[in-house]
Amino acid sequence: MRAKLIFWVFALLVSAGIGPALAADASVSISNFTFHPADLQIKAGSTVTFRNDDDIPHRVAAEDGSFSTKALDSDDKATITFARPGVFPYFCTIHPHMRGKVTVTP
Amino acid sequence: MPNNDDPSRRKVLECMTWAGTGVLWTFAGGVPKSLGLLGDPAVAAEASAFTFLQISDSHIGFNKAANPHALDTLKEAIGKVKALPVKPAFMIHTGDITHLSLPEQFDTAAQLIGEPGLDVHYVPGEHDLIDANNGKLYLDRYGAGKKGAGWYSFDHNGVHFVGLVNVVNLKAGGLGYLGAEQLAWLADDLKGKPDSTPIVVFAHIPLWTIYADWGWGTDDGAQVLQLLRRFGSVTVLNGHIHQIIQKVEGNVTFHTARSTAFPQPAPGTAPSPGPMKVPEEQLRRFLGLTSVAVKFGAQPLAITDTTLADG
Ligand SMILES: [Cu+2]
Repeated sequence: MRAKLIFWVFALLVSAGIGPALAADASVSISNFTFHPADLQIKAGSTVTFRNDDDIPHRVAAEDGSFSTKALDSDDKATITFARPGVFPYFCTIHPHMRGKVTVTP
Repeated sequence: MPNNDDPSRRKVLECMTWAGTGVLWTFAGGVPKSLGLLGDPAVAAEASAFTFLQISDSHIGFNKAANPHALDTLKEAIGKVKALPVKPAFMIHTGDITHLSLPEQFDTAAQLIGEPGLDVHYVPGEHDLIDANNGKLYLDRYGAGKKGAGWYSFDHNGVHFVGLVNVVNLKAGGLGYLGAEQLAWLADDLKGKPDSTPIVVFAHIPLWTIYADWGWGTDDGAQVLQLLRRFGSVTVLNGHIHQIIQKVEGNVTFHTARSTAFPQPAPGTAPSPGPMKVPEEQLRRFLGLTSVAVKFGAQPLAITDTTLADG
């Protein structure tokens, strides 16, 4: 019960945009041509799963070319493992005005 | 119908929305102007040196709420092309032929769009280049005789047509993008053409900025306009935004075509540019084709848009 409450408080804080999301294995939803959350913090070695919740395909790629997904149709997912620390800005190669960032801490 | 003998119309683009599926373009004195595609065939036949059709954003494979039957609406559009009393010289397709760049989607498109028996000049949209090999399927099918990512030019009855590709190598945070190689090719392609040559440029994403927040523009589009500035008649035809937006700036007429697949919201009127669901009975009013008639003499080129709900 308490764990659930803590989860919801955390979720609220995240959805209110209070600080970057910090997670082990994390996910990013793509909806309304926007990455949610657009600013994600994870530990090195964890994964991020991108899920397309739009009616149009998107394709996620790092600005430095270090990763890219296939084109994700509606409801498609792709999981990327972030092995090393660093800041990884990414964008949608189909709609390049869509941008996000994963910060990987040691 | 506009008075086609009025030379003052030479630099004026007129465009009427009419029921049907595309935009019919007429060139008169090198400037586009509107003509009824289906509505007034006699006028079209008499006044036009030639007409061509623009079809765009067929998104073969799209089946979401905004239009679960995008193949059927394309079939309706093609049916209207086949029923035209005056046969157009050719069609241009301004991209997003398919929704997901799948081989079977390209096959279906080629078969259906080929039914009227017209030459079709394609440029790709971003949806045509998302196969695993970043556009190999598109170039395998449509790349023959073209440069770079698929750009090219051709001439028809004294009008110079240029097909540009602004959907590859898009930069993070950017808009559509042509790149230095393509711009250099264009400068060379236009070199030596008399200023009086009517020019039609077509590409998927609008070459001028309509709404940057949604990516509706081309980063280096202004450089194309710089190269076109000296020409007396320039028509820029685009797709991508699934609605008609036009403007005239000096000798340049800009026009975007409707999709045959699904509507998108007007700039800034929705949280995102994604497919727009409209009441089922209204859908066909948002889908269509464009026809352009080219005339010679002191008359403007005519652009006509028709929706699927017309006629
Ligand atoms: Cu996208």
